[in-house]
Amino acid sequence: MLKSLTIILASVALATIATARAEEVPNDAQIAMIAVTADTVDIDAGKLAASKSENKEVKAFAETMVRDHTAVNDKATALAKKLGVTPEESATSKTLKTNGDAQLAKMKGLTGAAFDKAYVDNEVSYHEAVAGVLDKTLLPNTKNAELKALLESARPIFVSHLEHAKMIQKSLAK
Amino acid sequence: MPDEPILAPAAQREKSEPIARREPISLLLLTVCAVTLFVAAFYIGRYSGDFSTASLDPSPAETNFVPAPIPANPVASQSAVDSARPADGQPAVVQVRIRNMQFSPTHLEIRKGDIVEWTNADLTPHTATSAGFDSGSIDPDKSWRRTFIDPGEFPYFCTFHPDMKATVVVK
Repeated sequence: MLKSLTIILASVALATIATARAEEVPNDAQIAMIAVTADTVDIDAGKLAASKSENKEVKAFAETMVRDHTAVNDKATALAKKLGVTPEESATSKTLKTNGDAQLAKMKGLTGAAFDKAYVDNEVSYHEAVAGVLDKTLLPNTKNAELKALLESARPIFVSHLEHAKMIQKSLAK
Repeated sequence: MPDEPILAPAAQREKSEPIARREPISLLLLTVCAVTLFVAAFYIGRYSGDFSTASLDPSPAETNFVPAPIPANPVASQSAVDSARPADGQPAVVQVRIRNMQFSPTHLEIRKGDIVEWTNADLTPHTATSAGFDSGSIDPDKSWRRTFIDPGEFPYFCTFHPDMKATVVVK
């Protein structure tokens, strides 16, 4: 009796864990939203930095962030429309937005070199984090081939941005 | 008298062996256990998974992200460039393809008078800029051409993405 009970309860536990885990893998609608949110957060930060920074390199970098992430966003939005996919919020997209807003608020309170450092340091961390999410969560789970292809071509952009941000981080530290 | 043999073994058992006592587990207790296990398992399952947002912490002290190298574009071979050259000695239009944040080929050899055409097959705008020339912003799906009259080596880069570098060698 006790043995059967143990087996039943263990099965319930395992089945529940499996169900809970299954809900964590994002679907294509959520993946599209994560991508769009990730771009939008960087566009907003870039617009602020482009207008506020007095450092030529930082300004140029910020303008590139706006230019590039707008280009990717336009493509992602157009593709979602074409596929009839309505981007859907998830815990990840909400976290991206919340953290992005917090970072913006923090930067609005800074000026000069402190602003530049905060912006560039965050851009390094941000691009590392987003590239990680792209590799671990988005690319492996995207079902639609066109969406996957778009994310794959976005990847080198994130890597290039990361390298560029690191270059500026080094020169600011001098 | 006839009862005694039946009773005696039972009496003996009572003294020497404890009878295994079997009580039915109450349905209420079973339900409480199952629900507790369900809730615990659900929370363990949900919050210990891969799809976590811990990596989105705004100030990670250390990150372990090592970007995998960007896959190289297939490079147009020099012989392919040479064999595409018009036989009558007219200047050739030689292609440089911009894709995956790279110029391809990164090292291009041409003859003086040849025309180089940069085609942006990437998602974002790029430029082809050097001391001697500047394409300005080339949008995706657009091209820009330049005729190279003088011999020499012309390193160039993208002003938007300073890590994108290449060279045109004019012979």
